[in-house]
Amino acid sequence: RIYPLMRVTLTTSDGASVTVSRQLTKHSGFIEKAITDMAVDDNAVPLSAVAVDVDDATLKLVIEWLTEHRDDALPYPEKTDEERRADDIPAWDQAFVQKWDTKEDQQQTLYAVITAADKLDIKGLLDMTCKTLANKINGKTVEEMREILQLECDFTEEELAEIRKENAWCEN
Amino acid sequence: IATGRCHVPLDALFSRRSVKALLAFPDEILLEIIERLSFTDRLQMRAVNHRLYDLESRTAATAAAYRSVSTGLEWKMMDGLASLTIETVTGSISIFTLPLETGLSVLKRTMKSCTFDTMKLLHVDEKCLSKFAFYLRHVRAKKLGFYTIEQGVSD
Repeated sequence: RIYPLMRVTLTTSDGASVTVSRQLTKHSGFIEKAITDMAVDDNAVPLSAVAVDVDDATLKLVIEWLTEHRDDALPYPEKTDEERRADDIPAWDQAFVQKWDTKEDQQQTLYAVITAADKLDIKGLLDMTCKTLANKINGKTVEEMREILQLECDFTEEELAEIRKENAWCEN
Repeated sequence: IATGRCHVPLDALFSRRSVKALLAFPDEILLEIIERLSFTDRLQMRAVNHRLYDLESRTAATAAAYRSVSTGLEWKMMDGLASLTIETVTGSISIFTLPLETGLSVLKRTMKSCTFDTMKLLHVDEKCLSKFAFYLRHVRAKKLGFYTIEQGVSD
């Protein structure tokens, strides 16, 4: 059992320190592993800070999400391939992500949170942010996808013709 | 910064810099995103560029997704054209008429990717039937039965 009052200090990649409850960090496989590796009792406060490769601004967003999801069941349920879908994002999470839409660099924020969720091994947050990105792409043409994702086409004309032929049946 | 006996070496920990573009994500993250796209969006995604094409094709080859897209498939060959009829879980029916070779590649892909309740084969010649039998190795069907006009009914 993890006692809610126990706190852990995290140091960010840009040098900030943030102290959070173990009730939140228990959702991060990376932080929990780091604490275990410090050879302290599971329920003790680690003697030193845990360094995370996430900047302060992104970590604040991660902590905001963790605070809302602090009571989520662990371990995070593994989804079968059939259960992978993008249209089941909880209302709070949708509103949380929509707040970024007012930012000029909202896509960069989404990328930063996806990266943080991956590095910190927070499966629920990774799941939600990947769904959000998938939803931005769903229903778009290839050209629109390239524009949204800011990707260049690196196919030759011959390769493109071949792919168009392969995809022709779903573009009807 | 004191890190205690952190299991990840710091140089490795800080080696992955911030992601500014989608393709800077490692393959496992891109796959997480691709696997949440709909069937047709995945096909569109593979046309974006080489890396996404390779990743999407890899997941298709392992039949990782788009199951339950189709409940029925009907394949016909007439006058050198292949006609593929797909019935989706929502009951809508799409019919695609394609040149034979293109149709075969679509059939192969669809059979690797979907779960079927029923399959029908109509007007199939021997060469096509042998290819179909080969593709059957990949198919996921709740109840597989296929029918050919020339060869009667098989289960």
